[in-house]
Amino acid sequence: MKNNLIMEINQYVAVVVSFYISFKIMRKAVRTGDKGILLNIVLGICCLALGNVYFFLLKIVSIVPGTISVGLFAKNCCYLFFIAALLEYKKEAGKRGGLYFCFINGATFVLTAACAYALLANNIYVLNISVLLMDLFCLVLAVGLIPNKKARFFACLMISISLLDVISSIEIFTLSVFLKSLSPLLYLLFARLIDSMKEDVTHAY
Amino acid sequence: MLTNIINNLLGSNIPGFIFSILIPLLFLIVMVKDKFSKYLLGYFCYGVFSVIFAFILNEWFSQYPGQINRVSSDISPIVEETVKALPLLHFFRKDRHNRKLVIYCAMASGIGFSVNETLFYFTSFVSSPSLYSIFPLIMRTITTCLMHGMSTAVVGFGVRITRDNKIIRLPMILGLLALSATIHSLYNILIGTRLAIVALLMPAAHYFVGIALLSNDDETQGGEAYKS
Repeated sequence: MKNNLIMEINQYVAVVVSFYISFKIMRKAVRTGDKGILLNIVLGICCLALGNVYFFLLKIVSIVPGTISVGLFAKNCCYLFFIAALLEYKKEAGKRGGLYFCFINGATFVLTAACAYALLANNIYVLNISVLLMDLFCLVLAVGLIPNKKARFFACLMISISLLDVISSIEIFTLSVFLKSLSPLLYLLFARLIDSMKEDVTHAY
Repeated sequence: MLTNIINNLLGSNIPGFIFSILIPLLFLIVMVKDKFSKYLLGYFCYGVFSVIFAFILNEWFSQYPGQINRVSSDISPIVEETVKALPLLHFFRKDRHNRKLVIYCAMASGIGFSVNETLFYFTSFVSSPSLYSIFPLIMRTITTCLMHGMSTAVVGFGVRITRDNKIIRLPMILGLLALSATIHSLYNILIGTRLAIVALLMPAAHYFVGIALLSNDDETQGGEAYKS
Protein backbone atom coordinates (compact mmCIF):
# COMPACT_ATOMS: atom_id res chain seq x y z
CA MET A 1 0.00 0.00 0.00
CA LYS A 2 2.78 2.37 1.05
CA ASN A 3 4.83 1.35 -1.99
CA ASN A 4 1.86 2.06 -4.27
CA LEU A 5 1.46 5.53 -2.79
CA ILE A 6 5.16 6.26 -3.24
CA MET A 7 5.01 5.05 -6.85
CA GLU A 8 1.95 7.20 -7.51
CA ILE A 9 3.60 10.32 -6.08
CA ASN A 10 6.72 9.50 -8.08
CA GLN A 11 4.61 9.22 -11.25
CA TYR A 12 3.05 12.65 -10.64
CA VAL A 13 6.49 14.17 -9.98
CA ALA A 14 7.80 12.57 -13.20
CA VAL A 15 4.87 13.97 -15.22
CA VAL A 16 5.32 17.50 -13.87
CA VAL A 17 9.12 17.48 -14.20
CA SER A 18 9.10 15.96 -17.70
CA PHE A 19 6.44 18.36 -18.93
CA TYR A 20 8.19 21.40 -17.47
CA ILE A 21 11.62 20.41 -18.78
CA SER A 22 10.39 19.47 -22.25
CA PHE A 23 8.57 22.80 -22.52
CA LYS A 24 11.64 24.72 -21.32
CA ILE A 25 14.10 23.05 -23.65
CA MET A 26 11.72 23.07 -26.61
CA ARG A 27 11.62 26.86 -26.24
CA LYS A 28 15.42 26.89 -26.25
CA ALA A 29 15.58 24.73 -29.38
CA VAL A 30 13.10 26.97 -31.21
CA ARG A 31 15.03 30.09 -30.18
CA THR A 32 18.40 28.74 -31.33
CA GLY A 33 16.83 27.38 -34.55
CA ASP A 34 18.85 24.18 -34.20
CA LYS A 35 17.80 21.38 -36.56
CA GLY A 36 20.37 18.80 -35.54
CA ILE A 37 21.48 17.25 -32.26
CA LEU A 38 19.61 19.65 -29.96
CA LEU A 39 16.30 19.25 -31.80
CA ASN A 40 16.57 15.47 -31.75
CA ILE A 41 17.27 15.36 -28.02
CA VAL A 42 14.40 17.77 -27.37
CA LEU A 43 12.00 15.68 -29.47
CA GLY A 44 13.12 12.52 -27.64
CA ILE A 45 12.35 14.12 -24.28
CA CYS A 46 9.01 15.40 -25.64
CA CYS A 47 8.18 11.83 -26.68
CA LEU A 48 8.88 10.63 -23.13
CA ALA A 49 6.88 13.51 -21.67
CA LEU A 50 3.95 12.85 -24.00
CA GLY A 51 4.00 9.18 -22.96
CA ASN A 52 3.85 10.28 -19.30
CA VAL A 53 1.04 12.75 -19.99
CA TYR A 54 -0.87 10.02 -21.89
CA PHE A 55 -0.93 7.70 -18.89
CA PHE A 56 -1.61 10.59 -16.51
CA LEU A 57 -4.66 11.81 -18.47
CA LEU A 58 -5.98 8.26 -18.80
CA LYS A 59 -5.71 7.91 -15.03
CA ILE A 60 -7.70 11.12 -14.52
CA VAL A 61 -10.56 9.84 -16.67
CA SER A 62 -10.33 6.40 -14.99
CA ILE A 63 -9.45 4.50 -18.15
CA VAL A 64 -7.11 1.58 -17.63
CA PRO A 65 -4.83 1.24 -20.67
CA GLY A 66 -4.02 -2.24 -21.97
CA THR A 67 -0.60 -3.84 -21.49
CA ILE A 68 0.35 -2.54 -24.93
CA SER A 69 -0.81 1.00 -25.66
CA VAL A 70 0.13 3.95 -27.82
CA GLY A 71 1.55 5.67 -24.72
CA LEU A 72 4.04 2.85 -24.29
CA PHE A 73 4.81 2.99 -28.02
CA ALA A 74 5.57 6.74 -27.70
CA LYS A 75 7.87 6.10 -24.76
CA ASN A 76 9.74 3.44 -26.74
CA CYS A 77 9.97 5.62 -29.82
CA CYS A 78 11.92 8.29 -27.90
CA TYR A 79 14.90 6.05 -28.68
CA LEU A 80 14.48 6.90 -32.37
CA PHE A 81 15.27 10.55 -31.68
CA PHE A 82 18.13 9.62 -29.37
CA ILE A 83 19.53 7.32 -32.07
CA ALA A 84 19.26 10.23 -34.53
CA ALA A 85 21.20 12.46 -32.07
CA LEU A 86 23.85 9.75 -31.60
CA LEU A 87 24.16 9.44 -35.39
CA GLU A 88 24.66 13.21 -35.64
CA TYR A 89 27.51 13.00 -33.14
CA LYS A 90 29.04 10.12 -35.14
CA LYS A 91 28.73 12.15 -38.31
CA GLU A 92 30.45 15.11 -36.66
CA ALA A 93 33.30 12.83 -35.59
CA GLY A 94 33.47 11.78 -39.25
CA LYS A 95 34.86 8.30 -38.67
CA ARG A 96 32.12 6.25 -40.30
CA GLY A 97 31.16 5.62 -43.91
CA GLY A 98 27.80 5.67 -45.69
CA LEU A 99 27.29 1.92 -45.40
CA TYR A 100 27.45 2.12 -41.60
CA PHE A 101 24.71 4.75 -41.50
CA CYS A 102 22.62 2.76 -44.00
CA PHE A 103 22.84 -0.28 -41.76
CA ILE A 104 21.77 1.68 -38.68
CA ASN A 105 18.88 3.30 -40.55
CA GLY A 106 17.75 -0.13 -41.83
CA ALA A 107 17.94 -1.70 -38.38
CA THR A 108 16.02 1.23 -36.85
CA PHE A 109 13.29 0.85 -39.46
CA VAL A 110 12.93 -2.90 -38.84
CA LEU A 111 12.77 -2.46 -35.05
CA THR A 112 10.18 0.34 -35.27
CA ALA A 113 8.07 -1.65 -37.74
CA ALA A 114 8.21 -4.62 -35.33
CA CYS A 115 7.14 -2.33 -32.47
CA ALA A 116 4.21 -0.96 -34.51
CA TYR A 117 3.16 -4.48 -35.56
CA ALA A 118 3.26 -5.58 -31.90
CA LEU A 119 0.98 -2.69 -30.99
CA LEU A 120 -1.46 -3.40 -33.84
CA ALA A 121 -1.58 -7.15 -33.28
CA ASN A 122 -1.43 -6.83 -29.45
CA ASN A 123 1.60 -9.11 -29.33
CA ILE A 124 3.60 -8.61 -26.14
CA TYR A 125 6.47 -10.94 -27.13
CA VAL A 126 7.28 -9.05 -30.34
CA LEU A 127 7.10 -5.76 -28.40
CA ASN A 128 9.43 -6.94 -25.64
CA ILE A 129 11.97 -8.31 -28.09
CA SER A 130 11.95 -5.21 -30.29
CA VAL A 131 12.25 -2.86 -27.29
CA LEU A 132 15.09 -4.93 -25.86
CA LEU A 133 16.90 -4.85 -29.21
CA MET A 134 16.32 -1.10 -29.48
CA ASP A 135 17.85 -0.67 -26.00
CA LEU A 136 20.87 -2.76 -26.93
CA PHE A 137 21.23 -0.92 -30.22
CA CYS A 138 21.22 2.43 -28.42
CA LEU A 139 23.66 1.08 -25.84
CA VAL A 140 26.15 -0.05 -28.49
CA LEU A 141 25.93 3.30 -30.32
CA ALA A 142 26.40 5.23 -27.07
CA VAL A 143 29.38 3.13 -25.92
CA GLY A 144 31.11 3.93 -29.22
CA LEU A 145 30.78 7.63 -28.45
CA ILE A 146 32.41 7.61 -25.01
CA PRO A 147 35.90 8.52 -26.34
CA ASN A 148 34.36 11.61 -27.97
CA LYS A 149 34.75 14.36 -25.36
CA LYS A 150 31.91 16.48 -26.74
CA ALA A 151 29.42 13.62 -26.77
CA ARG A 152 30.50 11.91 -23.54
CA PHE A 153 27.80 13.30 -21.24
CA PHE A 154 25.02 12.43 -23.67
CA ALA A 155 26.52 8.98 -24.32
CA CYS A 156 26.68 8.24 -20.58
CA LEU A 157 23.10 9.41 -20.15
CA MET A 158 21.98 7.14 -23.00
CA ILE A 159 23.88 4.18 -21.56
CA SER A 160 22.22 4.69 -18.17
CA ILE A 161 18.74 5.02 -19.73
CA SER A 162 19.15 1.92 -21.86
CA LEU A 163 20.55 -0.10 -18.95
CA LEU A 164 17.76 1.04 -16.63
CA ASP A 165 15.21 0.04 -19.26
CA VAL A 166 16.76 -3.39 -19.71
CA ILE A 167 17.02 -4.00 -15.96
CA SER A 168 13.49 -2.79 -15.22
CA SER A 169 12.13 -5.12 -17.89
CA ILE A 170 13.33 -8.01 -15.69
CA GLU A 171 10.69 -6.76 -13.22
CA ILE A 172 12.20 -7.49 -9.84
CA PHE A 173 9.79 -5.43 -7.76
CA THR A 174 12.12 -3.64 -5.32
CA LEU A 175 14.58 -2.94 -8.08
CA SER A 176 11.95 -1.61 -10.50
CA VAL A 177 10.54 0.69 -7.76
CA PHE A 178 14.03 2.04 -7.23
CA LEU A 179 14.67 2.46 -10.95
CA LYS A 180 11.33 4.13 -11.64
CA SER A 181 12.01 6.58 -8.83
CA LEU A 182 15.06 7.70 -10.78
CA SER A 183 13.06 8.92 -13.77
CA PRO A 184 12.56 12.58 -12.61
CA LEU A 185 16.33 12.71 -12.02
CA LEU A 186 16.95 11.63 -15.64
CA TYR A 187 14.88 14.56 -16.93
CA LEU A 188 16.91 16.94 -14.76
CA LEU A 189 20.10 15.44 -16.22
CA PHE A 190 18.73 16.04 -19.70
CA ALA A 191 18.08 19.68 -18.78
CA ARG A 192 21.70 19.92 -17.59
CA LEU A 193 22.84 18.38 -20.89
CA ILE A 194 20.93 20.96 -22.91
CA ASP A 195 22.39 23.76 -20.77
CA SER A 196 25.91 22.45 -21.34
CA MET A 197 25.26 22.25 -25.09
CA LYS A 198 24.10 25.85 -25.05
CA GLU A 199 27.28 26.86 -23.17
CA ASP A 200 29.36 25.06 -25.84
CA VAL A 201 27.63 27.06 -28.58
CA THR A 202 28.22 30.32 -26.68
CA HIS A 203 31.94 29.50 -26.18
CA ALA A 204 32.28 28.61 -29.86
CA TYR A 205 31.12 32.10 -30.75
CA MET B 1 -11.33 -12.13 -44.39
CA LEU B 2 -10.35 -9.57 -47.04
CA THR B 3 -13.51 -10.31 -49.06
CA ASN B 4 -15.67 -9.60 -46.00
CA ILE B 5 -13.84 -6.34 -45.36
CA ILE B 6 -14.27 -5.21 -48.97
CA ASN B 7 -17.97 -6.12 -48.85
CA ASN B 8 -18.31 -4.02 -45.67
CA LEU B 9 -16.51 -1.17 -47.37
CA LEU B 10 -18.76 -1.28 -50.42
CA GLY B 11 -21.81 -1.42 -48.17
CA SER B 12 -20.78 1.76 -46.32
CA ASN B 13 -21.05 5.43 -47.33
CA ILE B 14 -17.30 5.71 -47.91
CA PRO B 15 -17.12 4.96 -51.69
CA GLY B 16 -19.99 7.42 -52.34
CA PHE B 17 -18.27 10.18 -50.34
CA ILE B 18 -14.92 9.53 -52.00
CA PHE B 19 -16.11 9.65 -55.58
CA SER B 20 -18.37 12.65 -55.02
CA ILE B 21 -15.33 14.61 -53.81
CA LEU B 22 -12.59 13.11 -55.98
CA ILE B 23 -14.11 13.36 -59.46
CA PRO B 24 -14.79 17.14 -59.40
CA LEU B 25 -11.37 17.78 -57.87
CA LEU B 26 -9.60 15.69 -60.52
CA PHE B 27 -11.15 17.93 -63.20
CA LEU B 28 -9.85 20.94 -61.31
CA ILE B 29 -6.34 19.48 -60.99
CA VAL B 30 -6.17 18.97 -64.76
CA MET B 31 -7.35 22.55 -65.35
CA VAL B 32 -5.01 24.30 -62.88
CA LYS B 33 -1.61 25.21 -64.34
CA ASP B 34 0.15 26.33 -61.16
CA LYS B 35 2.31 23.43 -59.86
CA PHE B 36 2.00 24.46 -56.22
CA SER B 37 -1.82 24.30 -56.37
CA LYS B 38 -1.67 21.04 -58.31
CA TYR B 39 0.39 19.48 -55.52
CA LEU B 40 -1.93 20.74 -52.79
CA LEU B 41 -5.05 19.50 -54.56
CA GLY B 42 -3.36 16.19 -55.41
CA TYR B 43 -2.43 15.58 -51.79
CA PHE B 44 -5.92 16.55 -50.67
CA CYS B 45 -7.35 13.99 -53.12
CA TYR B 46 -4.95 11.36 -51.82
CA GLY B 47 -6.14 12.13 -48.27
CA VAL B 48 -9.74 11.59 -49.31
CA PHE B 49 -8.86 8.34 -51.12
CA SER B 50 -6.59 6.99 -48.36
CA VAL B 51 -9.63 6.36 -46.17
CA ILE B 52 -10.09 3.14 -48.17
CA PHE B 53 -6.64 1.81 -47.14
CA ALA B 54 -7.22 2.92 -43.54
CA PHE B 55 -10.62 1.21 -43.45
CA ILE B 56 -9.21 -2.08 -44.76
CA LEU B 57 -6.25 -2.09 -42.36
CA ASN B 58 -8.34 -1.03 -39.34
CA GLU B 59 -10.84 -3.80 -40.07
CA TRP B 60 -8.06 -6.31 -40.66
CA PHE B 61 -6.33 -5.68 -37.33
CA SER B 62 -9.60 -5.35 -35.40
CA GLN B 63 -10.47 -8.93 -36.32
CA TYR B 64 -7.61 -10.27 -34.21
CA PRO B 65 -8.93 -11.68 -30.90
CA GLY B 66 -9.68 -9.11 -28.15
CA GLN B 67 -9.13 -6.09 -30.36
CA ILE B 68 -12.60 -4.50 -30.53
CA ASN B 69 -11.98 -2.06 -27.65
CA ARG B 70 -8.55 -1.07 -28.99
CA VAL B 71 -9.61 0.16 -32.44
CA SER B 72 -9.99 3.88 -31.77
CA SER B 73 -7.32 4.16 -29.08
CA ASP B 74 -4.48 1.98 -30.36
CA ILE B 75 -5.07 0.64 -33.88
CA SER B 76 -6.54 3.50 -35.90
CA PRO B 77 -4.00 6.18 -34.80
CA ILE B 78 -1.05 4.11 -36.04
CA VAL B 79 -2.78 2.95 -39.24
CA GLU B 80 -4.24 6.35 -40.17
CA GLU B 81 -1.10 8.36 -39.47
CA THR B 82 1.00 5.95 -41.54
CA VAL B 83 -1.45 5.89 -44.44
CA LYS B 84 -1.81 9.70 -44.53
CA ALA B 85 1.93 10.30 -44.44
CA LEU B 86 2.93 7.67 -47.05
CA PRO B 87 2.92 9.92 -50.17
CA LEU B 88 5.32 12.34 -48.44
CA LEU B 89 8.04 9.84 -49.37
CA HIS B 90 7.75 11.41 -52.82
CA PHE B 91 9.53 14.49 -51.49
CA PHE B 92 12.65 12.43 -50.77
CA ARG B 93 13.18 12.10 -54.50
CA LYS B 94 12.29 15.64 -55.44
CA ASP B 95 14.96 18.10 -54.42
CA ARG B 96 13.90 21.21 -56.27
CA HIS B 97 10.73 22.28 -54.54
CA ASN B 98 9.57 24.98 -52.18
CA ARG B 99 10.80 24.14 -48.67
CA LYS B 100 7.39 24.63 -47.11
CA LEU B 101 5.45 22.78 -49.80
CA VAL B 102 5.95 19.46 -48.05
CA ILE B 103 4.35 20.80 -44.84
CA TYR B 104 1.37 22.23 -46.73
CA CYS B 105 0.95 19.01 -48.73
CA ALA B 106 1.10 16.94 -45.54
CA MET B 107 -1.60 19.10 -44.00
CA ALA B 108 -3.70 18.84 -47.19
CA SER B 109 -3.48 15.05 -47.04
CA GLY B 110 -4.59 15.04 -43.39
CA ILE B 111 -7.47 17.43 -44.03
CA GLY B 112 -8.59 15.38 -47.05
CA PHE B 113 -8.72 12.36 -44.78
CA SER B 114 -10.73 14.21 -42.14
CA VAL B 115 -13.33 15.34 -44.72
CA ASN B 116 -14.56 11.76 -44.96
CA GLU B 117 -14.83 11.44 -41.18
CA THR B 118 -16.74 14.70 -41.00
CA LEU B 119 -19.16 13.53 -43.68
CA PHE B 120 -19.72 10.40 -41.64
CA TYR B 121 -20.59 12.52 -38.55
CA PHE B 122 -22.82 14.66 -40.74
CA THR B 123 -24.85 11.63 -41.81
CA SER B 124 -25.26 10.70 -38.13
CA PHE B 125 -26.45 14.27 -37.50
CA VAL B 126 -29.00 14.10 -40.33
CA SER B 127 -30.55 11.00 -38.76
CA SER B 128 -31.42 13.05 -35.62
CA PRO B 129 -31.40 16.74 -36.58
CA SER B 130 -31.93 19.40 -33.96
CA LEU B 131 -30.57 22.83 -33.16
CA TYR B 132 -28.77 21.50 -30.08
CA SER B 133 -26.88 18.84 -32.01
CA ILE B 134 -25.40 21.24 -34.57
CA PHE B 135 -22.98 22.93 -32.12
CA PRO B 136 -21.17 19.71 -31.12
CA LEU B 137 -21.07 18.82 -34.82
CA ILE B 138 -19.36 22.10 -35.73
CA MET B 139 -16.89 21.77 -32.85
CA ARG B 140 -16.13 18.20 -33.84
CA THR B 141 -15.65 19.20 -37.48
CA ILE B 142 -13.19 21.97 -36.61
CA THR B 143 -11.13 19.92 -34.18
CA THR B 144 -11.12 16.70 -36.23
CA CYS B 145 -9.86 18.42 -39.34
CA LEU B 146 -7.23 20.35 -37.35
CA MET B 147 -6.10 17.21 -35.54
CA HIS B 148 -5.73 15.18 -38.76
CA GLY B 149 -4.12 18.08 -40.61
CA MET B 150 -1.62 19.01 -37.91
CA SER B 151 -0.63 15.44 -37.03
CA THR B 152 0.37 14.83 -40.67
CA ALA B 153 1.98 18.27 -40.86
CA VAL B 154 4.29 17.19 -38.00
CA VAL B 155 5.60 14.38 -40.22
CA GLY B 156 5.91 16.86 -43.12
CA PHE B 157 8.01 19.06 -40.85
CA GLY B 158 10.32 16.08 -40.31
CA VAL B 159 10.62 15.46 -44.05
CA ARG B 160 11.47 19.13 -44.54
CA ILE B 161 14.22 19.38 -41.94
CA THR B 162 15.85 16.09 -42.91
CA ARG B 163 15.98 17.06 -46.59
CA ASP B 164 19.61 18.07 -46.26
CA ASN B 165 20.48 15.48 -43.65
CA LYS B 166 19.91 12.01 -45.02
CA ILE B 167 21.69 10.23 -42.17
CA ILE B 168 19.01 10.90 -39.55
CA ARG B 169 16.07 10.85 -41.95
CA LEU B 170 14.54 7.48 -41.05
CA PRO B 171 14.79 7.58 -37.24
CA MET B 172 13.53 11.14 -37.08
CA ILE B 173 10.54 10.63 -39.38
CA LEU B 174 9.55 7.38 -37.69
CA GLY B 175 9.81 9.13 -34.33
CA LEU B 176 7.58 11.97 -35.52
CA LEU B 177 5.11 9.42 -36.83
CA ALA B 178 4.98 7.89 -33.34
CA LEU B 179 4.48 11.35 -31.81
CA SER B 180 1.60 12.16 -34.14
CA ALA B 181 0.00 8.74 -33.51
CA THR B 182 0.14 9.43 -29.76
CA ILE B 183 -1.52 12.84 -30.19
CA HIS B 184 -4.19 11.20 -32.38
CA SER B 185 -4.79 8.46 -29.83
CA LEU B 186 -5.09 10.96 -26.96
CA TYR B 187 -7.65 12.94 -29.00
CA ASN B 188 -9.70 9.81 -29.78
CA ILE B 189 -9.71 8.68 -26.15
CA LEU B 190 -10.35 12.02 -24.46
CA ILE B 191 -13.08 13.28 -26.82
CA GLY B 192 -15.62 10.96 -25.23
CA THR B 193 -14.69 11.70 -21.60
CA ARG B 194 -15.01 14.58 -19.13
CA LEU B 195 -11.64 15.85 -20.38
CA ALA B 196 -13.09 16.48 -23.87
CA ILE B 197 -12.06 20.12 -23.57
CA VAL B 198 -8.39 19.02 -23.54
CA ALA B 199 -9.00 17.02 -26.72
CA LEU B 200 -10.70 20.01 -28.34
CA LEU B 201 -7.98 22.48 -27.37
CA MET B 202 -5.03 20.26 -28.30
CA PRO B 203 -5.39 20.49 -32.13
CA ALA B 204 -6.11 24.23 -31.93
CA ALA B 205 -2.94 24.74 -29.88
CA HIS B 206 -0.94 22.76 -32.46
CA TYR B 207 -2.39 24.82 -35.25
CA PHE B 208 -1.45 28.16 -33.68
CA VAL B 209 2.04 26.92 -32.80
CA GLY B 210 2.42 25.78 -36.42
CA ILE B 211 1.32 29.17 -37.76
CA ALA B 212 3.71 30.96 -35.37
CA LEU B 213 6.66 28.76 -36.37
CA LEU B 214 6.00 29.11 -40.09
CA SER B 215 5.52 32.88 -39.92
CA ASN B 216 8.70 33.17 -37.84
CA ASP B 217 10.46 31.23 -40.60
CA ASP B 218 9.01 33.59 -43.21
CA GLU B 219 10.37 36.60 -41.34
CA THR B 220 13.83 35.04 -41.08
CA GLN B 221 13.90 34.19 -44.78
CA GLY B 222 12.53 37.62 -45.67
CA GLY B 223 15.21 39.27 -43.52
CA GLU B 224 17.97 37.26 -45.17
CA ALA B 225 16.69 38.11 -48.62
CA TYR B 226 16.57 41.78 -47.67
CA LYS B 227 20.17 41.68 -46.39
CA SER B 228 21.45 39.96 -49.51
